Amino acid sequence: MSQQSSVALPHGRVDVVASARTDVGQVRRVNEDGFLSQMPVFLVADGMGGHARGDLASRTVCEVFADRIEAGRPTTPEQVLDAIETANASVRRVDPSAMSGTTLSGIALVGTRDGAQHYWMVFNIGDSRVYGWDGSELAQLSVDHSLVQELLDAGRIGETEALTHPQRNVITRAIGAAEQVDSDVWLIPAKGRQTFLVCSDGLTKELADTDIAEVLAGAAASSENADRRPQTPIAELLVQRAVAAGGRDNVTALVVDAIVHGRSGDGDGDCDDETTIDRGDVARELEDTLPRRPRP
Amino acid sequence: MSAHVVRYHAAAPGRWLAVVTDGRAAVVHTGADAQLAGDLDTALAGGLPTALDRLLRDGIASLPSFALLEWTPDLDGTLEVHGLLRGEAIVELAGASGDSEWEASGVTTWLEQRTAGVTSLRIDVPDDADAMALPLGAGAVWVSRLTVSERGSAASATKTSGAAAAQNAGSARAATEVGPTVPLAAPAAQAAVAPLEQTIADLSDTAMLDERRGFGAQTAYDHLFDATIVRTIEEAAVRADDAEAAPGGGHPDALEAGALAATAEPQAGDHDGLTITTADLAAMRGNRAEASTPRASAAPTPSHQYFLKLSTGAEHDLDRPVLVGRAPSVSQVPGGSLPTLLALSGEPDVSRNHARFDVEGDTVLVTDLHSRNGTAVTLPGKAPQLVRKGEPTPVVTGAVIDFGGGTTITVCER
Repeated sequence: MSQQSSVALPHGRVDVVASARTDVGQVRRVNEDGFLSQMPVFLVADGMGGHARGDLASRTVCEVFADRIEAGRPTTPEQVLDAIETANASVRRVDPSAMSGTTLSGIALVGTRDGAQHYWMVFNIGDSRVYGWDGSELAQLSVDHSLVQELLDAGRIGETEALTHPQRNVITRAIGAAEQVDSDVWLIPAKGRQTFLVCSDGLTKELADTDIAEVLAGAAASSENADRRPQTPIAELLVQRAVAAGGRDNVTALVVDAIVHGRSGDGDGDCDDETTIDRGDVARELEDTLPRRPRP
Repeated sequence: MSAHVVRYHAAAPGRWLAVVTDGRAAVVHTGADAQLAGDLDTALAGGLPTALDRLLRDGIASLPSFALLEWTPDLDGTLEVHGLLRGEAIVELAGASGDSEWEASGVTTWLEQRTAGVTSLRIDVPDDADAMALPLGAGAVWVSRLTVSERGSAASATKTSGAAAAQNAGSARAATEVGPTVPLAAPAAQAAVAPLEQTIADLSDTAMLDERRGFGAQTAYDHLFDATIVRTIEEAAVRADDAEAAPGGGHPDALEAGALAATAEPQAGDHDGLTITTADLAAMRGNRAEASTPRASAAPTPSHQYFLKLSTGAEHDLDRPVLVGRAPSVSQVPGGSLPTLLALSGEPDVSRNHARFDVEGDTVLVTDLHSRNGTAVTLPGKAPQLVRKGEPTPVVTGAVIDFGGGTTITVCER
């Protein structure tokens, strides 16, 4: 299913078309994935713990976010971080005698304190992922909290080994795992057309990034050719393909297609590249206005 | 009628301790650790996660070899066995649909397995085995082998040289001879007063049995495959010294091969994501709770409340770092240190991410983030100075910061 929403901003509005789909897959009995797709927050939670506990953990996270984040208007980074803390505490309270946990990855439309600027806040705990799609290229925005990612960062294994590493199911952070939750966040200025994919590892372990890009590109092409939107939502296409490829885990995909109309924040519409004007009266150095790049 | 008995093969004191309670057994290489030996029965009574918690008390580096098993009867009288395994202990399981073996050599942390349809099982540890198998209801004994099998069947699970004759020899006397010299908590004071054969299941309802027939076979190899588990980075990290300590060999490849062997067990049967998390999460909680306490109390209370005043009149508290730029963005920062973004839009001289304000202790620091046009600081009564790019520079209250656009920022204090 696709859902459309439109939110007014101080200097324009943002239109969002979101599609979400989850599938138990071909092997597992219980779907422990959960998602929330409700402007301004779009998230996926992949529960762990076995029996119904993983399911309960991911559902708890979705409920907390639905409860704490007011629907239909931009939220703030503080509220999102607060919801993450609350979700952590709630998952830990679910059943203190038994243990459960869940990943949490998502995006939220947030405004600054004065409400003048808007950003897509990307947040991540665990190994579900957020990707950005610019119409031609897929870029992984979040960085997994997994043993394999640690090994990759340390140069102990390569990209190819990472895909088949026997311990690729070991994650290093999760909601509900500890008293305090360590989230990673990103803030990306909201402007123009931006497409995000939020998904559980059931999708990314079955489909290579190139496969995902192919589906996204195909969907974009068919929506341009047809008078109407494509019959099948993109999230559905992605999940179908992952399940067909094996579906060894629960598969969840959430695709958010957002268009900001009018001025939001930056104000310069051409901001794909550095557009700072050189005054020339100070030392010229190699331009690097984005010093903190995400880890590869 | 179906029932299961636990039997053990005695060994000399001071190496492998077996603790048996209702439906659970722990075989742990306690060595001379009397405290651990004394704690085990209480810990095991709380379930496998609690037992693991106790074993993990001193961290993963000093975690001994162990086998923690829990068995529950299915409706057909076979057992569903849940096990945590580390190091040298080996578990063999026999079932209607074949035998299997759990073995954790080469696993950095521990192996978790679950198998249904088990008729008997055996835990073996590398110690000199006494040939005699003695029954054990509940208690603690030094062992070289522990078996769980159906009442009346051969004493040991698989391929065991006959100790079945000793089946009825178990007595308080026998137990006393090999009996525990370890301190035991009060509830287990009657340790090793065998032979209180445990009836785990008593099912004669054949209709029910028929209904469930086949279930055991179908799920005989049901166990964890590829279920997501959580470990802290510390625990999960594959380290050189772990690799050396692992019995599988010192080379990381050997380690990975061992882990692969451990996870590459048959994956047939249903799978619903029964997970190692239970134990892991519990362990993490314990560790985390300890680790986070001093951190929280160490945070100093700032005695100054700084804020930034823009030449436009707007104010921004410096309770969190502030990132200033034409179109600032943040890439992978911990949620706890997320900066406030202050956009100076419509100022083309200002870089997207231009400068950052932090408060460290009682000092305000401004860092130019390698902006194109630089950041100038004017201290009260002084001439403007360009700050070095990338270097946090202390500024005092009253300092005016110029990013080259129309807007300046003054550091203020409440």
